[in-house]
Amino acid sequence: MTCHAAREWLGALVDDAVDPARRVEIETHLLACAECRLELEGLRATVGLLRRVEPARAPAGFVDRVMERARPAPWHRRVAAWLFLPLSVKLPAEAVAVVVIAGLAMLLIDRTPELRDAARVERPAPPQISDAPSQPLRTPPGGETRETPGERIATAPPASRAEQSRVAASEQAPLDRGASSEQVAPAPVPPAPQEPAPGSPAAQSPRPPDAGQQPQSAVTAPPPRPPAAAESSDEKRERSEMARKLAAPSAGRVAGLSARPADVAGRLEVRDRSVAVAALPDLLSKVGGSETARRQDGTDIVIEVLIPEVRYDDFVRNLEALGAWSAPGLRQRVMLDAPYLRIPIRIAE
Amino acid sequence: MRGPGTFGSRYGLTVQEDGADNPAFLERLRAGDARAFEELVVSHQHRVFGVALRMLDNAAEAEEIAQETFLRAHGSLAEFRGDARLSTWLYAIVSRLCLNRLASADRRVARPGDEVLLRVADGEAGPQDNAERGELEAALHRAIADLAEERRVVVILRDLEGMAYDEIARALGLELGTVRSRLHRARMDLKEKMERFLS
Repeated sequence: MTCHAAREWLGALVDDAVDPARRVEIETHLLACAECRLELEGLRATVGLLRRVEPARAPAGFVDRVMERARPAPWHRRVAAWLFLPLSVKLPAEAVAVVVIAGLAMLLIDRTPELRDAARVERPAPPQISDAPSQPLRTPPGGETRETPGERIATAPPASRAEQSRVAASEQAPLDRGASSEQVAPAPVPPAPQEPAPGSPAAQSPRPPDAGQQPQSAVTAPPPRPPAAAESSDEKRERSEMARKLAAPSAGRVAGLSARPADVAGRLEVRDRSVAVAALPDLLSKVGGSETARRQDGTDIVIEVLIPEVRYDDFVRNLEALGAWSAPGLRQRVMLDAPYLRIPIRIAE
Repeated sequence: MRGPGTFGSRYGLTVQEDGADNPAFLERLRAGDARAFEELVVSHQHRVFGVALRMLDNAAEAEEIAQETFLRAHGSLAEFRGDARLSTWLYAIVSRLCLNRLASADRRVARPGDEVLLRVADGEAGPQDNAERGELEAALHRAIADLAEERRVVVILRDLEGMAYDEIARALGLELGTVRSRLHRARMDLKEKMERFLS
């Protein structure tokens, strides 16, 4: 064994941590090597010094402090610790929370039409809407100004943009949606002005038929009730439904209704065709209808009109006053949700 | 020469090291018995604190690391399998915490001399003996503090705490030969620095 190899094991020899065979080798070398013996003595002395070092003692109260920290914190401290997390933890967590909440809110708004409408940017109302309340009501022929539910609703201007949006939504949606949707009576929209044929009597009419100018409302208006009588919910719903049906169709809806098949095809035989043609606009205004098209078919004039379904009988009665009205009867309705009938009237002499 | 596991009386502990490893005591610790954990802290506080103090050479840091050692042990007691002795396990924790602290860039500046206040004066020695002893110990502390960290921890665990080679190897995750080699080099460094006290 060389000195270098022997000295590597001197520390283990001091610690008595050498196996017997190696110990014999080392001790044999030490017997022959004075320098290694000196090295061993120095090492023993050093280890002796180290083991004389006074042991350190933990400071007073160390155990109590450890036990205090090891004890589970009460719930209010855990909550406080959670609330006052370091910003490096709390800020990312709050950012994620904000993103999630914003995403949920957008999803909710997107899924809920009412919230979507309410979230729209308020725009100034167009002039024709603001002018609507200023239009005077036409007095019924009888001079009686009985206010029907239909009139009251029809003349009420839309209170706000949100209400207008609701009206628009209700028009776009199927009209016969059910009791829940019917409880919200749509505000009236003036019917689209019809371009009267040049030279026709209708062209002299100052304004097109308007739902707010229905003098015949007294015909269908319910009898006056005692003011003290409270309206039941069924009555309100019925009045709301009546108002909805009496409301004139908007321009967009007129176009849609005109495109569908006729519900009734009738023939009106009159003595004087021009008189009948001239009287027709007044008749339409009485029943809340409107003219949608007019054409010449040989010697006959065919005028297409839209009539509220609930006023069809009134319309026929008035037609029969002009001449002989014949119609094969109501055909199969294509759009069951439409409260208007499309009627081509062939006026013949 | 003291063998491994014989240092219990040196600290005047009420709970012997061998007793801490008895199965009933381990079972109480694993079950979360607060009294058992307190006994563990009482029996090992000085040794754990001593290792931290020799390694870090700063009393405040040493207490912080020693507390952390027991808290980590407390959190892992349920998973302690008992393959090693509890003392070996605690030494392993405190050694790694110290080495991590020494390796950290933001380690606070050491305050040499704090540890002197923590030593218990030897009441039987005279003033001159105490002065000589103080000088020797101060030299030893400086010499130990000057050792490279990987050698320092081995010499502390072996020569100051009396751990066996295999326990040190297990605690530090080293080969037995590495422990022997590092210990030899640490002692040779100390021998050179303590030359004047060896005559």
